[in-house]
Amino acid sequence: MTLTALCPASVSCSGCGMPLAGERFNSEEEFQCGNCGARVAVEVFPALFRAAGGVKSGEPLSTAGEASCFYHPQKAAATLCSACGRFLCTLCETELAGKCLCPSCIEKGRQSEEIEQLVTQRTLHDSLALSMAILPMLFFFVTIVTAPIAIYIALRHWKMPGSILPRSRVRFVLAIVIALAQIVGWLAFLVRVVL
Amino acid sequence: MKYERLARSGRSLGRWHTLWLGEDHLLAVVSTGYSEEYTRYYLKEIQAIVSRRSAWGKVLNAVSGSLLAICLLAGIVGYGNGLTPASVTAGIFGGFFLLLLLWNLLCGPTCCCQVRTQVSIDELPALNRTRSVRKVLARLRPLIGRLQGEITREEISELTGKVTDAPPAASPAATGMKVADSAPPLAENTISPYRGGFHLAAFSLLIADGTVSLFQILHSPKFLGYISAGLNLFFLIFAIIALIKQTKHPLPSLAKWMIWGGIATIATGIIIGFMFVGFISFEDFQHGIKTKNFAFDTAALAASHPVFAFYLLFYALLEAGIGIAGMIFLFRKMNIAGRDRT
Repeated sequence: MTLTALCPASVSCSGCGMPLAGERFNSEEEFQCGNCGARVAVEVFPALFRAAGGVKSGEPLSTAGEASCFYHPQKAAATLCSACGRFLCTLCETELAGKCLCPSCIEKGRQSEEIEQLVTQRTLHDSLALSMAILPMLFFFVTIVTAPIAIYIALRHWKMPGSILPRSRVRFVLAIVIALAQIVGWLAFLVRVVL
Repeated sequence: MKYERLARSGRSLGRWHTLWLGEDHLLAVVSTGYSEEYTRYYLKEIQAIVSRRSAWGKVLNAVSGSLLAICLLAGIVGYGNGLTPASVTAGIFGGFFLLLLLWNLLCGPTCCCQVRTQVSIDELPALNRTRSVRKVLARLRPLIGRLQGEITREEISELTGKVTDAPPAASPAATGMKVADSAPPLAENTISPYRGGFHLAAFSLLIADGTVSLFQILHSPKFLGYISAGLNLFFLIFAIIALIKQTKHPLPSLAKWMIWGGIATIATGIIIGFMFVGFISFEDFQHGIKTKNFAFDTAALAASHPVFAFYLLFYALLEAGIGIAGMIFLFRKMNIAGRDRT
């Protein structure tokens, strides 16, 4: 990598905020911060020395018949949205999940959680159902209410997207099995009391 | 998308932190058990990963080691009268603290790890051991290198040297530096008039309480119990204020840790004191004796049980030791600051 393409930069100590000596970076060994004496290890990558790219503004239209951006009629179209096919200028195009998307499609994808890269939070309904099946067993009598709730949660959210991390449906299955066992137990108890 | 787990830890209360590697990004996950929050760091945008040794490992070793020693002592002294509930309980707790100590030693030193991008500097709580940081870096280095290119240590040295050698008038835009880097360091920028007064008061109270506790081992008057309780109360008040102050003040990290150590000592002391009273009450109950009221009467408690006398001695020395160490760390910093000013 040529030095001319890179800009000077520094890395600060995470303890005291003072810049650290660059000679010791990427050495896999810890060294002491000159200011606070904390032992630090720093691994830097070329992105640190790359100047921040200028803000994209989009190319203005050069001829009257030229295709224009759907969102900015005065800007020349540079690409197509992979989802809706609208013309986009360089200002509007966003590369995400290997596709070039327009702001509208990104927003739709975020709301519907279809684009996994935009998901920032997920509720773990399987853990919720399992807890609802197990924890109330400490106070046995409440299971008459919580067991059906656990089954409802498990079935209602069976196909809903859960964690984006690798995770099986074993918690859902366990929740249903335990809750069914509780219901069967209650039925047996009630039948015995009535008869 | 396939994810590969890089590290996991449960550092904060009720929240589990894990770090995963996706195709082109790192995924930091915070889980509460019922929900997950995700933060992505794209490999092509990661500028640096900085890890700094923290004192957590040493503190945990000291605490678990001390508690193990106390439990062993209690177990040995208690076993003199045969297998008593006190010795069995001490053995169980001792085993737990031994496991904790071994686990902490096996995991290695602790650290705080930060990931830096063009627009953010975030902590990665999942990477809280230097060993796991090294493993993760070994995994990431080739992947980031493929996306960003390679850079040699000589180039890094030259480029970072340019920043430190640059004249003060050089603008961030001209040098390509981030504003945060070009600005004066945090320590100088946000310095407050606080000079460590609350820390000094808290350490003084620790030393005073340690001295009072030493006197309490003897058959001293009951009023020492009230004095000790008052000192503990005032220490906790000063320590809380000191904790608030130290977040924005460049005090030496060891002095900051001594405040935490003092709080932990007093909290552990209170818990163990109550445990002893519980044991004595249980033994008295077994023998059909009405338990004495030990409220504020530590001397009587020490007299009634030799194990507690040993513990009180250890507690008093630990308190005084933390107080003295804290003062030394604090004064050393003040001397350095004084020398710098002159």
